[in-house]
Amino acid sequence: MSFKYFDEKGLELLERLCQSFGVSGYEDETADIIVKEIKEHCDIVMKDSVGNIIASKKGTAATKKIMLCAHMDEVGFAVKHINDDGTLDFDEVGMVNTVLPSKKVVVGRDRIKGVISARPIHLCKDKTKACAVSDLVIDIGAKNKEEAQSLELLGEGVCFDSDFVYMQGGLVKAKALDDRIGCAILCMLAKESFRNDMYFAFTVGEELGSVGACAATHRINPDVCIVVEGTTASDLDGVPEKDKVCKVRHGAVCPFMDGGTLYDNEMYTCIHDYANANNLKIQVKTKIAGGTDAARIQRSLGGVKTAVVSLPCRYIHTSSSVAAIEDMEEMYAILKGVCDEARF
Amino acid sequence: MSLFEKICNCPSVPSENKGMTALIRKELAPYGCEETSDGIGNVFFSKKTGEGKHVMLCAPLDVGGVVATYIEGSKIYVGSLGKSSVMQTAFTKVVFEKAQGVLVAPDNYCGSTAVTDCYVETYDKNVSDKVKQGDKGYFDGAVSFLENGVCWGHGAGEKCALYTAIDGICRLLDLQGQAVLEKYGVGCVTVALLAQSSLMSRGALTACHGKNPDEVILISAMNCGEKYSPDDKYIVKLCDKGVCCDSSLTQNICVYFDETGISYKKTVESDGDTALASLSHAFSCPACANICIPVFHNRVVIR
Repeated sequence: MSFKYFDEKGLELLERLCQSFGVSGYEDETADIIVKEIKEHCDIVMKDSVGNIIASKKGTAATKKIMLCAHMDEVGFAVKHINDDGTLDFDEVGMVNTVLPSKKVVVGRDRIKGVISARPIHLCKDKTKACAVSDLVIDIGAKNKEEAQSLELLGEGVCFDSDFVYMQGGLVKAKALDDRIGCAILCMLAKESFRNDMYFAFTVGEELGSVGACAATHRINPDVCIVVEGTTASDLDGVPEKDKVCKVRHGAVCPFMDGGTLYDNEMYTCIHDYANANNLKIQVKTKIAGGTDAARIQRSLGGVKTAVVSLPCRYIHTSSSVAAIEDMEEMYAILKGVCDEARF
Repeated sequence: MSLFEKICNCPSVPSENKGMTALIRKELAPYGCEETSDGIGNVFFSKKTGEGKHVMLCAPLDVGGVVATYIEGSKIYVGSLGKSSVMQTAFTKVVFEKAQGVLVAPDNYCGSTAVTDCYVETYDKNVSDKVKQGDKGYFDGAVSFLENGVCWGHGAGEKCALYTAIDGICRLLDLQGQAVLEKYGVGCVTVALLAQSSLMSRGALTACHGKNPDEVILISAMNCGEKYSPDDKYIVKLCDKGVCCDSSLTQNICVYFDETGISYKKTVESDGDTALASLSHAFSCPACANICIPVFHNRVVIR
């Protein structure tokens, strides 16, 4: 299977981004990849005081100031205590799926390998329930507290340790597809030429309540904004059609609303019209749930017209999300065309 | 009454406000206000009357409705577009642009039942040709006029608040109102119709950022149970969810009500409205006050 935009180079970039360590509050490694990738292609690339990367590129015949936004951070954990036996107590950073025992993780800036451990299932009173995070620890193999303390891990971020895998039928499996797919698409779009003035905002802390989105919007002061995201696909056997939210291999997702934002009607219609006119696959969500940076962006300044274009991802917020490369292609083509035409 | 009836009969759910905006535009046309709107959908009508402070009256532009999320056969599955209690909306008529039906709730529906547990039954097998995902619907027959000046229905309080704001700016801009503006040193008046009001007052903050008023008077609905007498025409809030209203602006309002014999009651109670917090958190830190229309289980006493 070959793809126009997500060719070998595009997929290699996505893999690098997904494999980078970028738990909310610890986005530096992801940010470094992005800066290296786009600095030669943009007029300005800067890092603001909260850690957002903001890049701009002058248009060839600008009529609009368009902001594209993707968040760099991913869900994960943070170390909050070191136990006497050398294991690490941790808390969630963002909304992580709670099935965690035996998941491989890396801890801190030195990428110490570890595994999330729980009492053996044989010893659990209630075998039907997932373990609470408070009952889990991270085992890094340290012999005792002193050895673990010497690694200075208290307060450090913890990230899933998960390979980037090519699956059957053009699917990929990786951690953090939400929202490294957005970062990859923005990096690739930054290399294109547009009629409009383009601003690329790679934000921090979305999983903790969109820490960076407001600051980025205030700095850019855009006419319109499109948030590029990964979103929940529940297209699994046994799930009623109306509850599937969206489906993998059914194209980009452009919702009319989610839990945090009622999207701009005009932009929503324009994006769908563009996709339909160009035979690009696009879908809406069948559930109003979740939220993105769009909520903060829309309510910044004197109100910013906002839309979102997302990649349908199965098992989002776990160590192994799954998505289709063909959906990434549709997303890219839609965003490229819409940003150039900007009929909103 | 005529304008109030028109407002009550005009559907206006979040992001579908063209009809309501047109109605108010027509009403305010004689006053020569400048009309603007912003990125979230707030609509403003402003008039400079002289030198002095800029006062903004804010009122909700919409009431809660539903949005189509999935269509199967004759059923439209919906999501909630703002605050809509199933206890109050179950088995009422829902109107979309090209179709209508009844909001069917589960047999055991109760206070915790969500709109997403319900569906709109249209009895039309071809409804997917007429309604698409994302289309908004409103609860029909929103407001009925009962005896003794009581009106009842979904959104009666919000529509009454909107009417009060429009009526208020009309009165301020007519000849007799000029004296009030001069007395209080007002040089510019804006009425801000707040978009997405029923969605946690999402338009409030951007309204303030866009217009930079010195003073803001929010006119909203307040669910009161039976705590307030229908004789209390207005409730003047002193604070809401930890946000204090500006004491001198509130005092001015109370003095004006006293002088003109308008019945009101002061309260510190919150009805969960976050617009006041959003408005007062704007960069320009406007002085904020809140006048509420008491609502008793979807009933409003018009006078």
